[in-house]
Amino acid sequence: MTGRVLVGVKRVIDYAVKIRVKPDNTGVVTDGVKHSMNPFCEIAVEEAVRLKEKKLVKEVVAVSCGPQQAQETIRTALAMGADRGIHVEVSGKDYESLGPLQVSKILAALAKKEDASLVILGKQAIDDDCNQTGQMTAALLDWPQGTFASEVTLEGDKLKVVREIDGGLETIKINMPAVVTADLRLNTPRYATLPNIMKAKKKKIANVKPGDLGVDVSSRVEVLRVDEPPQRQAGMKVESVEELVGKLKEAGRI
Amino acid sequence: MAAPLLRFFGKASRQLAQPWASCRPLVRHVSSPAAGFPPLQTYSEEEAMMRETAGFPPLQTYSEEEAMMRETVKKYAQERIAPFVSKMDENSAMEPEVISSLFEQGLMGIEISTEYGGTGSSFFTSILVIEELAKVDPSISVMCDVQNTLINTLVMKLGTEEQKEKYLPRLASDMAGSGSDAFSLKTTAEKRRDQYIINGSKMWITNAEHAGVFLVMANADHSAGYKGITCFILDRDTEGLHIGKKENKLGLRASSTCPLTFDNVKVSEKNVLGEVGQGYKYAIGMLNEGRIGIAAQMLGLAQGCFDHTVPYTRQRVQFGKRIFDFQAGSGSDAFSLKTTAEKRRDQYIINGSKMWITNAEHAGVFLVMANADHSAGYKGITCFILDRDTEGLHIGKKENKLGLRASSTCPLTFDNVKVSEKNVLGEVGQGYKYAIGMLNEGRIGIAAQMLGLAQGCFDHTVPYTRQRVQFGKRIFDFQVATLTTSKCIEWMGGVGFTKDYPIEKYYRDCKIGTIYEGTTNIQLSTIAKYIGQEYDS
Repeated sequence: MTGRVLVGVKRVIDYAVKIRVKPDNTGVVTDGVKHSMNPFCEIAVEEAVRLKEKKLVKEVVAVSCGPQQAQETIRTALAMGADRGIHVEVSGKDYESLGPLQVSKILAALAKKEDASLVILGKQAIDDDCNQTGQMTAALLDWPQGTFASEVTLEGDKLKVVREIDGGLETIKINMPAVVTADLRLNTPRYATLPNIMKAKKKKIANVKPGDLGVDVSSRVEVLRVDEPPQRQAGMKVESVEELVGKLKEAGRI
Repeated sequence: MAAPLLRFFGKASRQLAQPWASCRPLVRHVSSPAAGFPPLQTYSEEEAMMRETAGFPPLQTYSEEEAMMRETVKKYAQERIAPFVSKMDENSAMEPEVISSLFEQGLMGIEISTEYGGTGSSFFTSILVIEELAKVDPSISVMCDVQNTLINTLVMKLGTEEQKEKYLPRLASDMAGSGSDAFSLKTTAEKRRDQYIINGSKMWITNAEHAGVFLVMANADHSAGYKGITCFILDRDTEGLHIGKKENKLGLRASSTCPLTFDNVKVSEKNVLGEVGQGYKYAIGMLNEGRIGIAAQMLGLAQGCFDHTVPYTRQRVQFGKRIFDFQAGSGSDAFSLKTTAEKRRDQYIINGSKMWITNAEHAGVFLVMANADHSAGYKGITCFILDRDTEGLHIGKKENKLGLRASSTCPLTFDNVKVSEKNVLGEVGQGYKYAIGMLNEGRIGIAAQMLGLAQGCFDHTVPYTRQRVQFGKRIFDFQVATLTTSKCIEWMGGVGFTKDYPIEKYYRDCKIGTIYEGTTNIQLSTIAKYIGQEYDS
């Protein structure tokens, strides 16, 4: 049995919410908007919990960086089966500019501090779509990485990872400790059951600040503008195939 | 022997009060609950203290874990139950997969403590779960309701340690339970040494098709009338217990309702739940909690139906307008264009009259909307500040009203009232916009007032005994459900009447609300009885 799995869970705007851009184009509206755990992070938690249920790992630790509300996301991970949580408190301006690099530094520092043998993250978050955190974390730790995983098998101190690549699958074997990022088909995350929600209440969430980990969260990226996608134009109805062909020709499509 | 009854009441009141008890700590750490919007009922410490003196416990302040459970059940119901709803209704049969997932999620043993494998949560959580399930399928909701608020509760409250150990773990993990009505005196239990022999039959047994255990009320002492009624725990496979053919129903079709017959059913005296002869009292007591469950179910049903309807009305275009806009827009134009303001140099001359001016009797200043440019229609409406003693302003006799009688409502007349242009509030021609905007905020005030009024009225009702409130709440919630489902069909138009949309199913499902666990008619007479008693003394 290897040691500890660190799972990153990000609090994002719920996938079902219609996103609105702030009038001053500096970002999107988050106040009073429903948030939930990033779906890819749910898959990561599920994978870690399954490893624990198969008794392949000892402990699953869920980490989230963000304001106070990030604890709700950690609590969800605990209700799914993680053993304890770490809330890295980042708020205000720092939270607004928090990007993959800053989070990677925090995760790398925690992976060392917690003596983790595996870090499992979602391949990307549905809010910024960066798809960088896993890769950066592996680089900062100088650990091997298995990204876009659709199957993960522990084989002794090695890890077999089936990766989703363009038009097919790639199977790799990497040494532990390692960083894995979860793709959509890795598993189907469970619902937190009511008894587990009750149990989650008793699990511990530690609170740390980036400074405690020696991490500087200042950002090098400046957001200039955020814009809504262009409005979809109304279509038109045609009466016959001839008319359709005519219109398409007119529009220069055929 | 009113003790069990009191215990039921005590329990309900304690647990309903709980969310309030956890309200203040909650304010500090839950800033955005799962539902997205901070709930209106989460108060700052100061607000909470101000309200506490008024003493209204807000039921919708969820603790972090309650909010999470609600979210989870909502998601579960959407993903795992919703796909089967129409099929289950059509076939009048519950999907085995749905039943097993209810157990997996811990929804069938919500209040059973963890030592028996239950969730170990509260009655309040049961109610939240029942409501969420009813939004998606009231049939599933009623199964969960009967299990949690009736069967489990009775076994937990009255069971011997042996009975608890035998039944609670199974009720929490894989065995549905079913109850029977307490009031038929025809099912008899005859004692022979350490056994009872049960004979007779029972109709309308909810969940009977899937139940593994039945709580059966039978009369052990005919001479004592209803005081002979005793509650027995019967396993499904007990010899002589027959489960009849299920009823073909109008609504809640997926939920099974069957008759039971007892043909010399032998049951050990160890299977008596609680005390011999107390069955009637137990049943009456347990139905009190059951009714809150039914109320939650009716509310969920109404919300579920509404949630299906609104998106459709926002999408469906008729006569070039969304149906939603017809409904929302009707009756909103309350602004008289007849009061005019004519400009003469730096003055306006106001003429006309206004009806229904609230507080007019005591007001020192009026904000008057008058049309400064008739050709512009409502875009000419301008807001003026008028002192009470302005010449030409007359305050009429106050109206004799039905309600709010202490507040004055008077007509105003303007007879060549001269007012300086300095007294224009805001911009000329923007009055309509201001008024609409201000009414938006005003309406929130009115809403708050109505809520307070309703709560105040409710609080006056509480002393009429808790039982009455439970009846009352149920009837009210049922009325909400009936009105909502009926209106939703109308809003949907023709498709609301078809089975292509789930609206008609909600409409059918809610009818049972007037019937089970005490009909509305009987409840109303019970309420009347209690009111009568209140005034006797």
